[in-house]
Formats: sequence, C-alpha cells, structure tokens
Amino acid sequence: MKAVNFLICGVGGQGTVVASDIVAEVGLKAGYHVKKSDVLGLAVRGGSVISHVRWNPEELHAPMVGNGEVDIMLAFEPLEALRRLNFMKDTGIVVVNTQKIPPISVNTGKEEYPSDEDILARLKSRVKHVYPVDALKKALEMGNSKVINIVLIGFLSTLLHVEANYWKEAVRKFVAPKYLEVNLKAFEAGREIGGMK
Amino acid sequence: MSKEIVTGNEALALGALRAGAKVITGYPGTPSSEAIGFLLSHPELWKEKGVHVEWSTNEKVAFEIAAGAAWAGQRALVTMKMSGLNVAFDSVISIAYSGINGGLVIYVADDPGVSAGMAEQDTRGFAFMSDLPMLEACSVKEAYLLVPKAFELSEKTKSPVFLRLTTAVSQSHAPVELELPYYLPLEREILLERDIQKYTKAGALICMAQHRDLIQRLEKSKELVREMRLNELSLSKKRGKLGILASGVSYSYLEEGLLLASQFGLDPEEVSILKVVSVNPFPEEEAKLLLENSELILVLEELEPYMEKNLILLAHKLGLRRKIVGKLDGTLERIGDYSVREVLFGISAALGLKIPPELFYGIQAEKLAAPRPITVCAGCPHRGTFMAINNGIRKAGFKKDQVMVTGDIGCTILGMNPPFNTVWNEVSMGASIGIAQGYVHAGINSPVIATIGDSTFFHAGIPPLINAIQYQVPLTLIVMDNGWTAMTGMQFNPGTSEKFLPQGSRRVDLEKLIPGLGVENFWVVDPYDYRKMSEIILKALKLEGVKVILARRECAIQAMRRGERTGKVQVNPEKCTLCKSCLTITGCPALSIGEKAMEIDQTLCNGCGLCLFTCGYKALEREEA
Repeated sequence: MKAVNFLICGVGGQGTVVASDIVAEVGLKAGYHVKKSDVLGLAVRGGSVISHVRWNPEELHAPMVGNGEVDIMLAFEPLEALRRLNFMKDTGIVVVNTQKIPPISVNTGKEEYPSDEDILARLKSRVKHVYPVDALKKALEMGNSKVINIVLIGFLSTLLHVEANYWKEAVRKFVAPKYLEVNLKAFEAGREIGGMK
Repeated sequence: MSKEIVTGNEALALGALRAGAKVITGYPGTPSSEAIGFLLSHPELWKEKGVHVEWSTNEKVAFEIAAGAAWAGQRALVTMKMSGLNVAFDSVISIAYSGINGGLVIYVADDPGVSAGMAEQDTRGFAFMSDLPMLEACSVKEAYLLVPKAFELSEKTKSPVFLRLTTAVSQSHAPVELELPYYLPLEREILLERDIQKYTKAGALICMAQHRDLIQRLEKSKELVREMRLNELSLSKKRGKLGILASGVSYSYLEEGLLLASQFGLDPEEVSILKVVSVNPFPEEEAKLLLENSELILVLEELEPYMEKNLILLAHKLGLRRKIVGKLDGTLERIGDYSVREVLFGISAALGLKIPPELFYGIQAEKLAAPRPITVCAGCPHRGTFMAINNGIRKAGFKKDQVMVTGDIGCTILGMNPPFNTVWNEVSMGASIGIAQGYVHAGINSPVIATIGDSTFFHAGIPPLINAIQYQVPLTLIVMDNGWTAMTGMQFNPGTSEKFLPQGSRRVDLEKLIPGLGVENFWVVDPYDYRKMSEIILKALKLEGVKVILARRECAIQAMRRGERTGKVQVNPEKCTLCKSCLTITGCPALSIGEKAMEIDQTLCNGCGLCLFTCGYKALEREEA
C-alpha cells in the first residue's frame, strides 16, 4: 500500500463534494487511514472549490495537503486545474474534465479564457500525466448532466489498484437512491474511458 | 463503539451529546455551522431525551440561553464563528465574573487563511481578556474527546470554558470511534439560586469580589489542567537540541514536517515536543521542562504569537536564555493558515538546515488562471435587487459612483462583485444601516442606500433601523428577504416560512415588524418584478426620511431543491445576435455563449426571467410555470 494524496477541484455546484466523499470512503474500505477536507468557502454556487483527500497506510494527522504534495488531481474544470497546479507533485497525474465554465470576469471581457492547447501545455509542463476527459458529453449521453462527477470517479478508479466493487459501494452510499441507476451507468462509462487511455 | 467518518463540527456536537448537554444553541457562521446543522438534521439522537437544540437570533442571544441553562445547573453548549464571539462577548465577560453551575462550553471556530471572508481574528485573545480557560483541538478525533473534558473543567472550576477549533479541523473529515449510546443523560436537579452577590453586577464591591473569584477560578484551572493531563510533553531521547511548542492544527502537521526535515540533517531523537491543548491557562510546568531540556525552541501556532509571548515571559521569569523562533523574530507569518511547509520552514530556520527552498514555496499557480469572483446563483432574487438598484440610481439622475450603497454580511454582499458593482462596503452583521447614517450625517448630498439580508436584519439590523427612525435620517433601506440564512448553508431563521420551522415555532413577519417600528414609506416587492422594483427604488430615492423596501422572494436554491420553478426561459436563435447583454448585465451562471446564439442551462435556470429585461432583440422567451 502506498500513500496517495488527492486534490479535487472545480466550481461550486459541480458535485465535487460527493466525489470527495466517495474517494474518502473507498480509501477507508480499502484499509487506508483517511483524512478529507472540503474547502468550500461560502454556500453560493459558482465559486472555486477544492477538497483534499489523503489515503495513508499509517495513521496520519494533517487534514490538508500542501503545495507540491498532490499525487492525483481530479479537476472538474480546466481553469480550476490550472489554478491549483501549485499543489501538484511533478510526478503527479491530472485528470481534467474538459467542460469549460467561464468565470464572469471572462464573460464580461475583462479576462481571457486560455485556449485548450495553452491549458494542456501548461498542465503537461508541470506534471507527468494529464488525462483530459469529456465527462459532460458522457453525462449528456446518459441523459443527466449532473452525473459528470461519477463519470470522473469512474475514470479515476482505473488509475488506482482498488477493486471496482468498493467504488460502486461508495457511489451507492453517496448518491440519491432516485438517481442510483444513472450514476452506476455513469461510473461504468467513466471506467470505459479509463480503459482506453 | 461505532467508527464513523465525521467532521470536526459533527465530532464536537456528538461530544456534547455524549457529555449530556441539555441545551445547545448557536448562530450559523462558517466554519462552525455544521455542529448545530448536524444535530438539527439528526433529531433522533436527542429529541426524545429532552435536549433542546436551536438556531438563535444571534450569538449573544444564543450565549445567554446557554448561560441561563448553566446557571440552572444543566450542561450547555453554545456554538459560533469568531465574529459571533464579538457579538456575544458583552454577556460572556459578565458571566465569566459570576461563574456558572452546570458546565458551559463556548465553541468558537476561527478561520485562519480566511475560507469565508471575515477578519482573520484570533479569538484566543478573548480567553486572556476574560480570564476564561480555553482548550484547542488539533484534530477531529481530539475535538470529540475534548468536549467532555471541557465540561468537566467547566464544572470543577465553575467557569465557562472556551473550546476553539480552526477551519482545518472543524470542516475536515476523519474517522472517529464514537461511544455508544450517543447521548448519555445526566440526572441533574434544576438549580434555582438567589444570590445577588454572584448573579448581579450592581456595585463596586460586588464586581471587584467577582473579579477576584474569576482570577482564582483560572488559578484553579491550572492545577486541574495538569491533573487531567490535557497537554502532552515528550522529551527528546538524546540530549535535547530543538524544542517545539505546537498548538492547534499546527501540531497535526508536525509529524510530516519532522519526517521531511530528517532527510536534511535533523535528528528526531534530539527533538522535544510540547503540544499545547490548554491555550489558557498556559501550561507553565511543561513549558519549563521544554525550555530546560532544549537549546532552542520553535513555536508553531497560526495567527497571533500568543503562545510565543507566554514562552518568552516564562523563560525570562526562570532566567533561562534560549533562542525562540516563531513570529516575533520574523521567521513565520502572522497571516494565513499553516501547512507542513511552515513547519519545515520553521525547523529549517531554527537549526540552519539546508533545505531546498522549492520545498517551501510551490509555484504561484493562481496567477496563471483568470480569477473566479463569486456571484449570485442562477435565479437568485438578489440579482433583481442589484439590477433594480443600478437602474433606480441611473433613473434618479445619478452616476453609480455618486450614490453610496452600504452592504452587509451574507449573500447580499455579492452585489459588490461584477457584473453589478452595486455594493460599496461590508463591515459586520447589521452595520450597513449604521454606516449609512454616518454617510448622511457627514453631509453627503446624494441619496444613501443600505442593503441587508433577512437573517442579518434579525440578527443586528433592527437597533440601527430604530436609530434611523428616531432621528428621521434620510436613507433607503432595502431588506433582501429570501427567507433563509443562505450563505452559511441554508439555515432557517425567524422569518422562514412556518412550513420549514421546527414544530411549534411562529414566524416573525418583517412585513408587520418594519411598519410597526414607525416606517411610513414601506413597500413589499418581488425582486423578479424588475420594472416595479426599479420604480419603487426611484420613488424612494426622491422621498425624505426613512424608506424601507422589503424585496421578498425565496432563495432560488431552496425553491429548486423542492422542484419549484417559476417558468422556463429559452433563447430564440433566430433573434439572438450574440450581443451578450443578457450575460454582461445579469452575470447569470445559467447563461453561456453558444456558437450561433446564447444558450441556457435548463438544469440551472429557474425561469426568473430577469434576463428578458436586458435583451434588446426579444430573443429571450419565457413561459410561466
């Protein structure tokens, strides 16, 4: 067993907290000592949000991950991936949902949203592996744009040596029963994309 | 035992139940809100047992209720964020003088690193100011275990006890072994004690005697804290070189910091560590041993150098000359929260280790990414209010930078950000109405507008409004009533619909309360009705005296959670010219720029229709739900 530090980042309302709940739960079930911390700021939608999740073979104390300590970033939005790059180890992995959510500063013309190539280049200059995932497209294929978080979790699950069943159990625990079926499908879809990488 | 992943806030609430607390009160405030939030969403844990849990009108009220219960011999917990303690402190210090009977624990959450926007206040200073004991937990698990100890200390010293957490503990999740049953009742008689020497402050003799008692209680807590072994000292195995005094979450980063530093020449066996849990009283005995055993000391504490000053004072008293590394020598910052990096930096500075600087400083990634200022949600009724204020000011013949619009705490402050740029300032709960009066008396000759949300108005906005009415100060107050304490995570408040209040509660209706204070120019308007809202604001700006507009419409997030939409808005791609006015004026997150026309995310849009007023091409169409 090897320690893994995760950073999950995105825009408020994208379902990052459920994703971090699932990652923490899977770690616990897989026998790790787990810490998780959601830095949400305010309850309004649309802000920049991050969650820290730590899996460790031994008991650990620090709830947060510092600069340069993250192994895997699960970014729900490209600009947010860039914003949190300082947390990454250079040996780390960035999984980034390609769905862009331009901030108001971009929409009003005050700032520019970097181009796809620019974003990818910047990410690649900092970490070893970058995996862009079009989770929104997959989610829309499932008929529910809300399940992008579970598509991404499905993809993430293929990067870690933990049984798929633990992940499915955790999805079951943290999504509303009403939407369980579509979420399990989203999870499989995410795994499928992961299998193709 | 039941092992569960809980947050620091939940651990604290569960610790209070296990300790038999009978009354638990508070006012929402990030990062403390989930303590009471958790209890209110799990009534099965306490409701049948005769425990009372409530969101109070403000922190002062919450504290007084808890203190009353503690005077009556019961255990009570009160919860708040650091700013809330400022509000409650007038009563806290008075109760500190009197002492208590049943245990009284004041949970206060500080926010180093500012996750929620407020002064980066270090409330440990309040413990010193009031001579009250304060304990601090370094982890979620410790938060759970410390609550019963805080109650025990409180009862043995007859003193309220502060329990402080910071954001990194209160909002983080960790597995905790919870004892069963969750609630352990205490059989306590109700105490009805009449003793004016203890319970009043009328007269110098009474107050000074109480002051003496207060100091004695803190002295007594010194012995108890030692007996209870709350602080942990571990002396070095070898001859002591570096001593580290750490408190709060800094301690939780220490282990990893030491591990990293040992790769660069630190010998962990030459390190002694004192974990300070009792911030007040300062653990002098243990600190003395740490000083004697170490050549130099590193102090790790976020925000103010309180422990460091205590240590310097102690070293001086003992005549021990030791180098003390911390904030006062400029090594570490008083601003922001700590991580493993600060620990490593401190160790490196203390011992002169050659650690590559990139281990302390990552790249500044934030600079690479366009900022994401927070704005109001899709369908937020405040959007209508901000748009109407901007329009009203323009129609009244003023430029935006000529009309002062004071702001207040909560979602209503989001009017400060683009695209609205409506609100100018933010001070503290209720302050918008007082600050506005100051601008008027300063001699400003353009209109003055104050804005405030419903919960903030109930909390501390009513006294300054009474003041404005008494002196007939010409200003326009807009109370933005969305029926919820929204920004802290949707708590109910006195104005929330009775459907959502605890059983047996009665709603306090602002529509009756405000005119009842003597406001003659008073309007109730739906902020989705942009034209009417603008008209009323324009009218109010031209009238004399105190004008109040109650902009009333439920928080869109709450309505959407129940599946309620007011309508459906769609873009007619034939008419849309992609001029983007809708987006640049409303800033609505449901709108985005498509290839040929604007697009609307129907999962976010609740059909408020405010964007329709911004479109010059009638390209936006709305159907009533």
